[in-house]
Amino acid sequence: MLSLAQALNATQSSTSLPFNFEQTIFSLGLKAKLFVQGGIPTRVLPNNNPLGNPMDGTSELLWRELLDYDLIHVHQCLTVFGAFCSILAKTLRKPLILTDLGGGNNPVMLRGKGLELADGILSISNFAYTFVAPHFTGLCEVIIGPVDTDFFHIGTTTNRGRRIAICVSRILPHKGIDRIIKALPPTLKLRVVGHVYDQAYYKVLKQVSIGRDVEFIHDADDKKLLALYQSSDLFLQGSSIRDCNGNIAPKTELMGLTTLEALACGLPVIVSDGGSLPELIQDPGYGRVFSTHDELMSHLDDFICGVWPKYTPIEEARAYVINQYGYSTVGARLGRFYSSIYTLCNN
Amino acid sequence: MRVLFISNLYPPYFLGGYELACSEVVHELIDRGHEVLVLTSFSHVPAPLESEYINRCLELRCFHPLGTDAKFIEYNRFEASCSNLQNTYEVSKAIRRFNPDVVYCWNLYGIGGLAIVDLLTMVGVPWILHLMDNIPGLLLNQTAPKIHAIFSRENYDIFRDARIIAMSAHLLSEVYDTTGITFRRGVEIIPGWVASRGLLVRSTYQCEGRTRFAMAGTIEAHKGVDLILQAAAHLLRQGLVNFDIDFYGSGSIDHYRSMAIGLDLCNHVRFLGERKKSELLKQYQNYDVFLFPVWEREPFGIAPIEAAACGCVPIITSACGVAEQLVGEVHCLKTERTVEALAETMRAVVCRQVDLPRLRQAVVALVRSDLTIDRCLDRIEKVLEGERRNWDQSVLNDIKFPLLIHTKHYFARFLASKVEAINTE
Repeated sequence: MLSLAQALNATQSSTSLPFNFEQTIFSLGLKAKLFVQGGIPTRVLPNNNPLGNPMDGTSELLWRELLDYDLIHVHQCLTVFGAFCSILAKTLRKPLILTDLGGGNNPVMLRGKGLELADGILSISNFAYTFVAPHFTGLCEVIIGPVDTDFFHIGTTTNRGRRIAICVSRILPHKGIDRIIKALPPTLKLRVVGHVYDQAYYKVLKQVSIGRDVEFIHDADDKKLLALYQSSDLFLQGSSIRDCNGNIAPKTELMGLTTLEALACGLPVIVSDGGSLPELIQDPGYGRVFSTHDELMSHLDDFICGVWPKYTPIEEARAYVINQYGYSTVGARLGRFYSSIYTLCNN
Repeated sequence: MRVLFISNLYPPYFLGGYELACSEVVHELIDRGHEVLVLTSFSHVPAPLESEYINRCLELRCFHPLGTDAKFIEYNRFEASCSNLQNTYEVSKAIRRFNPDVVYCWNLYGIGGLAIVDLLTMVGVPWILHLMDNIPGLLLNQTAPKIHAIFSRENYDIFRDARIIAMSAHLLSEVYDTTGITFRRGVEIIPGWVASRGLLVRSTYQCEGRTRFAMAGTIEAHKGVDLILQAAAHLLRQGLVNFDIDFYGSGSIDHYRSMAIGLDLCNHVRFLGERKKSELLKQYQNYDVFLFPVWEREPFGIAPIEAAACGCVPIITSACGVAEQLVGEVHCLKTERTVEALAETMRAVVCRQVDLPRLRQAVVALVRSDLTIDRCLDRIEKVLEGERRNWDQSVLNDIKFPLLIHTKHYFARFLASKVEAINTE
């Protein structure tokens, strides 16, 4: 959400848009706060419902705050907070755009047709759009990204080998990290970068890593993450709708942002067919998709043997991300979408 | 003017003065040439065919004569105070078709009042809330703030910004004490009234040395029935037997009849059941004193001024709403709400230590001037006219408006069920 806001801000100075946008992010917390991050003012309002799931928060102060805005974009629209904000926005007769980021499954917004209150829906991938499409008949835009391509960039050492793979992901079963480790060739080292959200799954990963060259890194900040991307040779992502325990995670990878970050750093990528990942890979020159263990093994063999990619496609991968998912592209598309919804509602 | 009335109840089925007053205002406004539509709930009480301006399309989720099954209590509480989707829809439909100049809300408890006032605010139609009870408190305090905030807005703004008529300052204090609400646009205090035209006034008191007391209202503790019976027993214990007390109204009559028997009051007390208002007004002239030791939160108390209009001198609780209008020892007798205090006041009357004709003269003059329905209707009409303004139906014509109403209702229900689940755990 912040990245989208920043992308729009960054674009306004360089691209001609029908309107000039001033943006504020509203969120909830224990105490009221105001701060600016990435040039975007962020207002934290006290949560009227501080117990339980933070996604269930509400704040009656929003009645007053939302009055000042010409258009309201509610992220996480399928949570209680999202539904609450949507209702307030439409009661105040504001143009409303909704986005599902994977949180919540509020029945009032889905079966109850609350999503139809929106004047437009912005989906973060075509895959994400499939979840809202059955419940919404109005204007919809799919905008993937943005990726901060100034930050995620190619390192100074471009002489890459075929020795180190990286997987950047929260450690959760539906992320399919076990699939990656199981297919790992003996000559390839794997760095798994991410916080542990499921200790039992982490234990499983440690178990399957025995005898393989796997390093777990849980404390990488953005700077360290960038260095890890830049010092790796291949990006791997194994997310799956059905995890190793047989559980279904239907909304896995609504938008595979780490895949785009890796591409922006010039890495070739091999990703599963989970969620939105396949739609991020438009050129087999720098990206491959697998469905099964055997396919992943085969892709990794090709990588190790130098069959794929034929050469290190550093610039192509990065150029693709900049053109498709960079701040200026995404910001301009977002600005045009906001403008069209605003115009539609005010005519 | 075209005035759309909304009231949870409307005669012939009624519980008290609120809905009776509503019907009186309806009739008076029609007599004055206004066009009226009343939205209210079903009445099971036999009555002649009603006029077309009464539309009983609203569902009522409380005040059922036979009570409610326990398993529906939570559900009904939500629907009574917060939102009843069908009722909200009916109101929106009525606004569209009737196109009122002003919507005049009365008791909204039982019909999903919060969603109704939210609807009126969203639509932008001028609306007025006539308080004869603590309606904001009843509507807001039945559900958690995060639930009703969907309708009541920040800090109950939906009421704070409303145009309010209230029958007493005492009632406004209760609204403030229970909700913190003060009304930004000021409040028109219009007390209860009496249609006193043609009523006879009692001229002689305590004939043959006997004092005749009357009480009319719901036969329950909050109206002071216990206090009256116990105070009467006090009188007996003091050897004072020359009095009678007649109770009019329905309620826990069996209970109080037993209590009267237990207190040896059989020869002094009668429970005469419910009477039509017109009949009661004829009866009051037969009594010396009207007993009204009601609970302090009584917003007003129309019965004592009706009795007073007939020369039946009221004894009232010092701190109830009607006490704002009547001066103690001038228009009435005021008493603290204890058995001892009431017994002492009754004793003074029975022992002829109170100049009832003098009190009668003052109270009849007051009630028949300041508290007449004509006088109050003039003021109500002025408030209605003041609110009247141009408004358009654009919100009602928005094709997504029914969806918004629907989403608000079901989202509030969703939150309510979560709260219930937490409370059950």
